[in-house]
Order: sequence, then C-alpha cells, then structure tokens
Amino acid sequence: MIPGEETGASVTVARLEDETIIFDLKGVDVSLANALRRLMIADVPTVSIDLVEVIENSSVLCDEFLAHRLGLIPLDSTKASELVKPYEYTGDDDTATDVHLELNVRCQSDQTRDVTSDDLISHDERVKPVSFGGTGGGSAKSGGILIAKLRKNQQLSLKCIARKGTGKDHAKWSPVATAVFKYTPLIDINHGLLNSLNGKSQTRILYHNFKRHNAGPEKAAIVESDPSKMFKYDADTDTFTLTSPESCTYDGEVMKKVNELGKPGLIDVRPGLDCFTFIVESTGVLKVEEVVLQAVHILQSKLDTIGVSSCFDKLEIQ
Amino acid sequence: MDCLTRDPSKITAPIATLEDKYELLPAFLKVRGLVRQHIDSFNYLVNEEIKKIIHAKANERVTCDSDPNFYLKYTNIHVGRPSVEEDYVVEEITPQQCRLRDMTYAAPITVDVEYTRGKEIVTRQAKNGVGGVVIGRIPLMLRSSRCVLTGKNEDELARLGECPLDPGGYFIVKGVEKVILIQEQLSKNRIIIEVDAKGEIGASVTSSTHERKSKTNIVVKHGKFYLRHNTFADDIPIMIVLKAMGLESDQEAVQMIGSEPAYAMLLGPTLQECQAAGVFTTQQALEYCANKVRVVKTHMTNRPGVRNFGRSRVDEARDILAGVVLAHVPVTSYDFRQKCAYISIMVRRILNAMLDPTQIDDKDYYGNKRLELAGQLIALLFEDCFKRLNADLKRQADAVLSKANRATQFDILKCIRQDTLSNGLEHAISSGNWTVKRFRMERKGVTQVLSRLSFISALGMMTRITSQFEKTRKVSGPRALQPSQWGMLCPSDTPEGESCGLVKNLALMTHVTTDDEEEPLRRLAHALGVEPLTWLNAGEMHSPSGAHVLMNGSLLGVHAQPEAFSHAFRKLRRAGRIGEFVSVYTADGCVYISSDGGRVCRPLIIIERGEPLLTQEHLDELKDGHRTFNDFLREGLVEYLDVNEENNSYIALYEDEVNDETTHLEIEPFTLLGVCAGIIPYPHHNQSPRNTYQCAMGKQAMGNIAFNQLNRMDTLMYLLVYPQKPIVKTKTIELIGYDRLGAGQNATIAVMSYSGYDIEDAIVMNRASLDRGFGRCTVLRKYSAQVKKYSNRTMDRIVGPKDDHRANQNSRHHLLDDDGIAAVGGRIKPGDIYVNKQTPVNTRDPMANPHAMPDTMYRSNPLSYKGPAGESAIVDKVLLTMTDEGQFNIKTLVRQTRRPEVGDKFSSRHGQKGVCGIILDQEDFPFSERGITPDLIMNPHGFPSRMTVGKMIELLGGKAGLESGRFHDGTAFGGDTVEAIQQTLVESGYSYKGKDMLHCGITGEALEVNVFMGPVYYQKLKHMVQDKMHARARGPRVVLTRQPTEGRARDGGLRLGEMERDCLIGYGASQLILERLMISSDQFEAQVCTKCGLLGFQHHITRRNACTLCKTEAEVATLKLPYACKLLFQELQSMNIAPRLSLTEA
Repeated sequence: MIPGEETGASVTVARLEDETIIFDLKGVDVSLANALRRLMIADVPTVSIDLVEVIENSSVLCDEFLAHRLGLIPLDSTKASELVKPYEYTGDDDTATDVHLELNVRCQSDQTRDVTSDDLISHDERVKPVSFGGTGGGSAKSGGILIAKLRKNQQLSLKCIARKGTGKDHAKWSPVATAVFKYTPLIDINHGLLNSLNGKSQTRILYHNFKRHNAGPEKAAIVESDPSKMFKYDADTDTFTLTSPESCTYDGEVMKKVNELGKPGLIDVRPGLDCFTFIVESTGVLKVEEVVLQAVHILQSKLDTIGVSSCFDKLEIQ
Repeated sequence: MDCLTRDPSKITAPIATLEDKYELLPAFLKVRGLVRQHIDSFNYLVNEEIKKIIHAKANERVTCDSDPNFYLKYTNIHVGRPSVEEDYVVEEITPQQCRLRDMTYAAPITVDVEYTRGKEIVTRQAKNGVGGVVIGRIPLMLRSSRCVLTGKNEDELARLGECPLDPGGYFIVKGVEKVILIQEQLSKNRIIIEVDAKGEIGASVTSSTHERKSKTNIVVKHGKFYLRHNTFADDIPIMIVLKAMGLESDQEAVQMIGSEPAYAMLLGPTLQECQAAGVFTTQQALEYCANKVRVVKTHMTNRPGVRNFGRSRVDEARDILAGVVLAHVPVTSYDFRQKCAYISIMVRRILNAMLDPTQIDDKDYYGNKRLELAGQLIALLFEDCFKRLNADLKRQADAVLSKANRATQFDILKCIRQDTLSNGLEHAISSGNWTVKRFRMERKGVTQVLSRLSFISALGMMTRITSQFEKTRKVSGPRALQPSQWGMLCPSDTPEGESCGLVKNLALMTHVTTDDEEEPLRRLAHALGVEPLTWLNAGEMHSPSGAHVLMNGSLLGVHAQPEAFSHAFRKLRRAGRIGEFVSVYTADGCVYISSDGGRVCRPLIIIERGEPLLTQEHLDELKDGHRTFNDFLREGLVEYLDVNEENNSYIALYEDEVNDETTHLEIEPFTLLGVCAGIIPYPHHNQSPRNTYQCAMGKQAMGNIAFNQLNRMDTLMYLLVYPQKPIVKTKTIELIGYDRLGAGQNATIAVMSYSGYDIEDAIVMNRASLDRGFGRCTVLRKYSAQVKKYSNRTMDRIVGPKDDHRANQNSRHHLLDDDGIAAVGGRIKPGDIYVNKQTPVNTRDPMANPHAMPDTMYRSNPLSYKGPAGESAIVDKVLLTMTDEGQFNIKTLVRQTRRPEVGDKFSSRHGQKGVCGIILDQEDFPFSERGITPDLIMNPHGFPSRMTVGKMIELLGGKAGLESGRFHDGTAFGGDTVEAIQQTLVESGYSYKGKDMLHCGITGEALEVNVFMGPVYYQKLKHMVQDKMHARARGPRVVLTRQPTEGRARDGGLRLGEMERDCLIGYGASQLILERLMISSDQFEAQVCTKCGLLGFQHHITRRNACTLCKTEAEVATLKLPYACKLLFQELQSMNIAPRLSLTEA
C-alpha cells in the first residue's frame, strides 16, 4: 500500500489474476473513480480488425456479417502503443498504422468445418487473436473464437487490416469486459445488541419443528434474510461473523430484518463514500493491470493538458 | 362390484393425475400440423369432391343438339403429381423451383372418358393412376396429399430446398405465395329465427345445393304467416303454400305445425286469410301462387311465335315450389310431404319464439357459423370452369355435327382446351377475385399474398378468418367476442381499426370439418329407431315425449327417446363407426346431427363416471412413441366437439374440477389462444388490449423467416443478424418452432428514467451493445428485369459495358460484369445500372434477320438502381431464370446491413412499442456492481397505464433464467410462479424484487433508488427511419399544376396544411402565407387584359403583352398568381364560363 501524499489516495490490490483485478481505491472523490472507470472502457487504445477485404466468400454468412464478427475478435494489443491511429497519421508508411491479417480456409471434408480465430494468419508476431491456439485446428476444441462454419467446398479468403483505436469509436476497441467500482461497504455490528439475540440454546427445539426460514434462531434469521450472504452463523459455536463484505449489494434486507426483530442499529451497512472497490476484467487484449495503469496515465495526461494536478501524480502501485 | 375383484393395493393407491396432459398437444400437432384445416379441405376436394362434381347429373355428359347419338361421358377424374411440361417433356417440379422461376405449382387434371367418334364408342382409361385425357391444371396446395413435400422428413425437405418449419397450406401461383383466407359465413340450410326491422319475428333459411342457392323467409305480418321468396313478387300466405304443396286439409296443416291450444290460437288469422282468399284446393292454391310469380323476361318468351309450350303457369309455380323454394329439401316426383313438414317446423319455431323470446336465434353464435376453406372455394370455381369447358365442347360439337359433309371425322377430344380450367383457377387465385356465375357470387380479396415478414406473420396468416360482413357497418354484434368462441378462436388476435373483430384467428387446437357422407348416417339413424316422416301422420309429428331428428338442417323423422338416441350415436362415433367430426346434440326437443363441412371443433378428453378415460399409462406410451394422437381418437379416449355439441357437454378446465356430471376435460387451457398470442409470456397478467397489440406487432418483427431464407428471392425481406431464443418461453413457442426461428433478442433492460430522451415510450440504447450486434438487421430487396421477346421475333438483349466504363468508379456502368449484369458483392449506389438491357427499336414490323441485328437497331434501355440518395447497398445475388412460359427473368437481390439508429422502432412481447430516443456510450450508461450495463433503458411511465404485469414477470423470469442457466416458462394460465422465480433470484444473490443498485455512468454516484433490471425479449420492428426520413429544399413538380410533388417516393415537398395555414392566419403572418402557398409553390406570371379581364399572353420574342380577344397590346397588365389558379380559369373557360379579373391598379 502506497499512500498518495497530498490527498491521501491509496490503492490496495485485493486480487490480481491474468484477466481480473480487484483493488480498493481510497481517499479519492467519486468523480475521480468514475473517470478512471470511463477511461478504462473508452480510452485505452487497443488493436482490432478494422478493414476487411473479401476475396472469396462462399459461406452462408454475408460479407458485412463476417467483417463485423472479425472486428469483434480480441487481438493481442501490446503493440498498440507503437501504432498510430489512422486518422492521426499523416505519413505514407502503412506499417505505422496497419497490421495485416489473412484468413484462407476451404472446407474439403464432408463434415462442417469451423472457422475460428485460430485460422487467422497474422503478418505480425505480436498481433494475434487472444488465446491463439496455433495453426488452424479447425475445431472449436482448440478454444479459438468461432467465425463461421463451412460446408464442403465452401471457401473463405479474406484480407484484414487491424488498426489501433479506442472504445470511444467502437466497442471492439474496448479492452475491458467489466470495469466497475462500488462503494466499499462499511458494516458495523453492534455486538452488545447481538448478544441480546436468541442463541441456539433457547430455540433449538423450535428449530426442528418449524420451517427454517420463518422461525429459526434470530441470528440465523438475519443470515437468511440477506440475499447477498455477507454473514455466517455457526449454530454450534453460536458465532455470528461477517464473512464476505465484498458481496454487499446494499439491498437493505438485513437492516429491515434487524428492525423487524426490534433491534435497530444491530447491524449497520452503509457505503464508504471515499473508498471504492474496483473490479476490472480484461478481454485478454492487454494485461488487466496494464489497462488500469494506462487509464491512469491517460487521466494524468488529460489533466496535464488542462493544467490540473491530480492525486494520481505520485501514485505508484506495487 | 368391480372394485372387489381388483387388486386391493390399487384401490387405496392415490389417483394418478395427468401431469403431462400437455404432451397430447405436440402429438396432436404432429398428426395435424398447424394448418391442417386448409390441407384437409384441399385434400377432400382433390380426392373426393372433384369426383362428385364430374359425376353430378348436370356435368357428367356432354351431348349435342344436332346429333342425338353423340355423347361424351366422364367416368373418372384424377389429379396428378405437380409437374410442368417444357419442350414437350413433362417434368416434376418442387415448390422452391416455382418460387424462384415464377411458375405455378400445379398438377394436371386428367379424366377418363367414354365418347362417340363417328359410329364407334371410344373409351380412354386411366393407366397407372393417370387419366386418359388432360383437361387442365389445378394449382396445388403445399403439403396437400398430392404435394411432393408430404411425408418427407427434415433432410428430404432440405434437399428440396424447403423449410421444415414451413406449415404449407398455401399456393404458389406465378411465383407468388398465395393464401386463400378462411371465409366465415352464416350456416347454410339451417333455420334462423330472427327479429326484423319492424320487430316482427321471422324465420329464414339459405338453401344451398350444388345447382342452386336461394333464401326463403317466413314472415309474420299482422299476426299472419307469409312465405317470402325472390321468385314471388308478393308474400304468399303460408296456408296457401301448404295447400299448393298438397296439404289441402286445414286440420292436417294445423296438426303438423302443432295442435296445442297456444299454437292453434296464433294460427287462427292465417287460416282465416286463406279462407278469405277463397283458396281451398291444391289447384286453386297453385293458381294463386302462379299469379304472384315474378315474371322473368327471358329471351324465350320475348321471341314471337315460340311459346313455352306444354308448360302452364300452374306447372311453373309447382316447379318453383318444388325446386327453388327451400331448394335443399328434396322433392321427388312432386311428393311435397318433406317440404310441408319443413315449412311447418319453421312456422312452429316462429310460434315458439313468439311465446318465448329466448328462442330467437343469435346470429353471432358461433354454432351458426360455417367456415369456408380453400377446398370449398376452389370446388365452386372448378365446377364453374368445368361447366364452361363442357358448354364449350357442346357448342363445338353442335357447330361441327350440324354440317352434313365433313372432311374428317369429328373427335371431340381434340376440342378440349386446357386453358379454360388452368387459367380460370390460376387467375382467380392470383387476383383473389372469385366470380361464380351460377351463384351470382362475386367476391374480392379472397386470396392474399402470404406475408413473409416474419415466421409468425406467415403462420398467423394461415389461421386468419375473414368475415363477410361489411366493414363500414357500425354494428357491434358481429365484432364482439362471443362466449361460444371459447377455445375455437383466439380472443386476442384481431386487428385494430375498421376490421376489428371481423378478422379473427383460429385457436391452437381448432379444426375445421370437411363434408361427410350423409347417406350412411341417415341409414344409421333410422336403424337406431328414427321413424321416417312417411310413417307418421301429421298428428304424430309432435308427440310430447318424442323429438324431431334433423340432419344437416333437414328433417329425418321422429325419435321417441332422444337422449338414448344421441347417446347411442355418440357411442358409435367414439367407437369409430362414423366420422369423428360428426356431431350430435339435442336442443329444445330436437336432435341435431351435423356432418357438414366448415364447422369449427376441437379435441377434448372424454370423462366417464368422473374419471378421464385417458390415463397416465396412455400418456407414457405416447411419450415413448408407441401411440399417436389418432390412436386415442380411435379408441374413444379423446374426441372432437363442435360448438353446438359443447353445449351438451360439461367440460372441466382442470382435473381437480372434475365431478360426477363432467363429460369432458380440457387438454390444456392455453390452447384457447392462437399462434400469435401464444408467444406472449404471461399473457394472463396483461391488460387484454396489450396482448392484441402484440399480436399485431409480432407480425412486423424482424427475425428469421425460414430455414431457406437465404435461398429465397422475395421482393422485400427483413432479417435479424443475430436472432435469439427467448429466455422466457411458452409451450406454444416450442410447439410452433418460434424457438428455432425467433424474431428478437434478449435485451437487458433497466426500467428507469435516464437522459430525458426516453419520454413518451422512447428507449435509450447502449452504443456498445449496438456495436456488438444488438438489433443489427439485413434488408434484402429484389429487383427484376425481363428480357422480352417481341412479335416480330426480335428480342431484348443484354450487353456488357465498355472497358473504359468499367474502370471508372464513377461511371454508372462500373458494377457490370462482362455479361452486362451487376457483379455479386459489388456496392451499388442510386443511379447505378444493374442490368444493361437494350431493346430493339422496331418491335412490330418483320425483320430480316431478327437474331443478328446491327447495334444501331437497338436502343439502350438499362435498369438502374433507385434508392435513397446517399445510401448504398450491396448486390447479394443474381438469378437468371426462365418461367414456364419461356419468359427470361433476371432477378437481382440487393442487400443492406443496418444497425439501429435513433428513430428505429422496437417492442417487447407485451404491446409495448417505442422508438429509440438516443444512443448513449457504454461509459455513460448506468452500471451495476456486478458489472452489468443494460442494453436498453425503458421509462417506468410505460407501466402504470398499460398494466403489462406480464412484462415485469418476464423480466424476473429472464433474470432467474440467466442465473440458473435454463429457459423459464411463461405459458398462459400456467408457467413458473413468481415465488419460484424469486427463490432462484435470492439463491443467486439478487434481490427478490429484481432490483439492482446502479451507479450513474456519468457521475459515478450510486442512484438513489434501486432499479428494476433484467433481460426482456425485444423485437425490432420493420419500421426504420432510414426508410421514412425525408426532406427537400427544392425538387420535382407536378406537370399539371406545377406544384411540388407529394410523398417521399417522388421526393415530394412537405405540405403546409390547412391547420398550419390557419395558425399563420391567426398570427397574421400574411407575407409568410404568401411565400409558402404561392412563391415557394406554383407562382406564375400571367398577363391579364384590363379591358376584358381575361388572360392574355406574352409574345415570346418581342416580349410584348397582348390580348387575343381585344386585339390590344396596351392595356394588358402582368401579375403573379398561383399556376393552379390560372389552370382553373382556363378550365372554366373550356366549360363556357368566363372568369374575368378586374384589376384595381394595372
């Protein structure tokens, strides 16, 4: 954890996987958190197929249909930083903007041939479909993304040009599948009041005679009442614990139940207004932490242009 | 006693309920299909009725006036397999071929004949089921018994290029799919008691036989009974009619009608009137009638010298009474007994109704309606054409045989012209004009083009019923939903507006009967103890315990124990001894047996002694495929009931409602809805008009049309790029195959107000969703070009473009291939040529070498693409084909892929339509903490007034379905309960209310309230802005008035209408009015002579004004006026009215 020096902004990474990151962002305003989210969706540049030249298409899908499908295939975009967006480039060198890909498939067998993203031949080592499974397996098993299905003697021959772009222009350039944040919940349990609730000893008999959800011990009833299942109650040890605060959905059901039991204030769930839990999932085109970092950089450069310094200026993440 | 011998353990066992009663439905639809009514009716025509027609007395023989020995007799008739003769080779054809090649899917009709050729008698007999002589071709109904598609499995259908889900039941005429709509009318040959305009009760019967149609009324005037008929100029007292029919004794007549004192009293005045008229004998009565016969001026009577010899006017009257009045009651050798009895029953029913007004019939009651289907309608037409063919033959035979010396022997077969039948049938089906001369029938719009907008629209069209009522009449009766329509007609599916309630749709299980043989039933009835009328005297006709037995509206006789009789009759039907569609019912002391065609009926499970005969074991066997629905029918577990017989039954809706008196059990309540209403989830939670709206909108939804959609060449086709199965299904959806040919997508909707661009039902859409393919559609439009042949043996030709043209992208020819036809895959813009056709300059005079004419003999006649300016499309497909008439056709399919834009129309399945109001970026959209961003935002104001609770439940069900990974069921009157759905939601961590906490995408703050969010099936409707938007600054004008043209298609101006004008007047903006209505419209500079006030002219060279009338140049003024005004003046002048303008300042 590194504190942001002036504003007290800090980031705690709770989980980091290949394509998912969950982190807490503390000490910033909601507008700033939202700006980060919006940039991740719309401003982090990636590479996607943008132009398709159809040389031969005897499949059942029409050209536009295929082009649309090809565009949506996530391509490894680590090269995006080296490319220039076509409308920002004035030179004549195509390699500065374009990456060429090809698709040449013909079905020879009597069986349906699946054309997947694995069949795409890239002219650039670094720009290839996400989770590229090798040289044209032809079956969906290899994990490629299905583009079309071919029948015997049908053929696809396409030349594609991938270009750099952002989610603002088209959703295919958006590097994230999920980019959301929520207020980190602040959950207070008044243990004094909790102890005044019916424990297991008094209600054990009842427990067996009645349906579980309408006449259990009160602590269990609180657990039951919560659809987001934040709490756990162990009847044997009579322990009531908060186990998963991150699943809180602010539905107010627990508080309603507590009021119903006549113990208002037993549990209090409220959003922490300067503390946000981010969940970001990448589509695989970029590493997820890369998406976050790039978004931070873009935010900083945007703020620089209008001459405002941000709490992110000195933020570092380990 | 039975239970004592049974296994004791079984007695105490709980009674098994029929859990999967619903399984009967797929079984039913498997044997019946969705459009069985059409196909059955057509099969009946082709297999039976057509034989009856040629064997009818009037049609069977063709004779000749000049040669008494000559005859032509039809012995048999066959309808062959669909085929076409091309270059003298007969080839089988498939429906798909016909669609693409603009041919008619038809089969030859062949007959076996016996005729005289000279002195010998020749017979032509059938070989291998193909008759000896071809007399014409009859368009075939798809999936009828003669169609190539019947009995084929999915693979075989695919090989024929046919969609397995296509129901058939329509015709293909000249490449166009045509449906003969079901026609609803009042039943024929039945007595209807009604109140006329004067409040008097009367009885009317529309008699219909093969030869004749006539309407007979019995009316009451001043307490006296009269017969009213078209052939009589005046009403004839009923007693005189009876006397004319040989019922001379007043006593017998009264006994026949009813000698009970109440009846006899009412008959008094009628008897007295007869007395007063001095009619006592049959002869007198006939003379009386003869005087009233309306004189028909035929050419026979007008011709001097030729008398209608041998037939007196009395004979004529007798013939009319025998053959025209109540034509459907047979009179053999002038034995009027049957007809007298029939008339007396009519009178008796009027008397009944006079004493008890509840006996008056309800014309709208569905038991009194008959549906006329394709088979019956074509039968009428066929008989008409056949008669014409025969008349033609007779005329030719007359002409030839009357000449004494003939060079060759006369062979009548050579005179048969196939066109009479072929063209007659083909033309009627393709134009929809049904003209049958013998019944003076002239109906328009009987057929319609099968709408292929969506799969549902095609299906919906097949179940549509149109009524013969006039649409303009403002009566509510025929439009109202009748209780007797329960289970037979869909209560929801009817259009809005002028034809509301007149156009109806069949429910899912409804069947329409075809005619059934009467004779065996009649014999059976007599065998079961029906005493024929001839055995009874008049007094015995109305014994209190007995009942009249009527069959198809005519009186069979009397039975002493009607209940036992009808019971026995039903037993026989359940045993399969008589047709399953024969209905028996008793009502007010009469037993009615119906076997006529056009009755609506539906299957029900039979219950005896409080238990359904159909058991769980039966259903298990059905599921295992050991039995079919027909087996149940044959074994008497299930039977068809028509509307009338339903009234004799006690039908339980659910099994737990069965009691000792129950006779039948409903198979599934949701079958009371039709095909269109069947796709609505939870319709029983919606306000009823909403379901009606959805029925109309489902037909406009884009989706998949058929499995062969990409091989079709329809004029206009809307396809969805990514159609989906609805998450919330209904059983109907599975039954009709909507889950395989869907028309919509499961959109995640949030019910909230956002951005303000969502008022008045507008919806907010997510740009990222659209990027990813939501609502994306393909529009395909066909353009065809004909290569014509002309009478001088010249023909059109298609020429390739010049090389320099092709290279130039801006050339109109850039799209053309070497063959002069647009290249597939090319982008086509308005103005581009897609077929470079040339037409001979001279198409009339004979040419020396018509096939190798020089280029100068041709003029260019290219076909260019006319689309909205700025929009381009892509040539999808080109088809070169030849019709069966040798016409060469080039069909070009042009494709456009569209993504939704602001103004496109969408709708859920609950009659909630809305246009897209704004498209927002994904980052601006609200998001939930789970990472869900809705595809679509709907304003909550759509709910309170519409009361579409079904949509809310669909949302909940869809959300739960996503979590549990299964399709939820929203079948009408059933489906998954809200409790069960909420249980699933809570288990997956959602609020049971279906609400989620959302953050605003713009500020990031949490929204103050939780938002109802989840997936709902959304349909994209065919109305898209791209096809509608229109504006113009300047443009074309109409030649006549010089005002701007009207309408988008002509690039017309936008009208400043009367109301807008009124506003401007009220505001006082006179200059604006002048500018809008004249300067910007049809301003014209006219010359007016100040002397005579008439229009002058300006010399086009000297530029000097002149008046022709006054021969002056000096006093002609110039002024501006609307061209329409000038036109009016000139038109008035042409009518000898001189409009003169007097100018105050010149």
